Amino acid sequence: VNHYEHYEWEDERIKSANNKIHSEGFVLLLYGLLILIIIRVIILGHPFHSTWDIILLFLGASLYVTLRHVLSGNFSEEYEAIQASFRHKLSMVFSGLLAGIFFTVFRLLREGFPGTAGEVIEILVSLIVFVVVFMGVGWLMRKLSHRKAYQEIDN
Amino acid sequence: LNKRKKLKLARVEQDLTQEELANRVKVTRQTIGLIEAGKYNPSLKLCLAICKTLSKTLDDIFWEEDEKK
Repeated sequence: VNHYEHYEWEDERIKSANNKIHSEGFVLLLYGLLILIIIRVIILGHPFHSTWDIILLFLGASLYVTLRHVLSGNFSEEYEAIQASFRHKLSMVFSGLLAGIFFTVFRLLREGFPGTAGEVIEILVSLIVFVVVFMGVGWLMRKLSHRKAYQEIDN
Repeated sequence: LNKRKKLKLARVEQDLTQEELANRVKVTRQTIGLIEAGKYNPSLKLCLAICKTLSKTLDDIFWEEDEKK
């Protein structure tokens, strides 16, 4: 009897446990990178050009995960919920505002607080543009994901 | 009987050990042990493989009556 035959099999439990461990490791790595970026850029005040490799890695990995979710149709139900309910529309606006506030705080910590009225207006305009683009991209991703999910059903 | 006991009973009826059943459905013994202990929910594919090996239907081993009824 070959007691080691099972090494050649793909036991679904082991495969799924492996996937889970890898996925958790990836999330840890991604958050680690984010913390590293925050420490280097905000706390230590390193210039962007000295941390571009870490930032690129973080953005690349985040983009990959987001695109895979969109192409898998995983945001489809979220899109339907936003279309159907006011509460979900409101929560999308709130998440946009929250991201905008983080973006502005990040800018203020890096570039210092505004001294003139012109600088205040510039920061407010950039906040509004960020929130609109953030919500717009989010909505577009959900719509694309929804379309992709229905394409798969129709096919 | 819950599915854990049903599976164990069906396996014993066929005079198979956990390792023998595991070898036939191409999983590790630990996986069969965990299913019998109720700590792992197998996929439909594995459920079918187990049922075919034990000459049972899905209902025989994996169907559970609602406990509230």
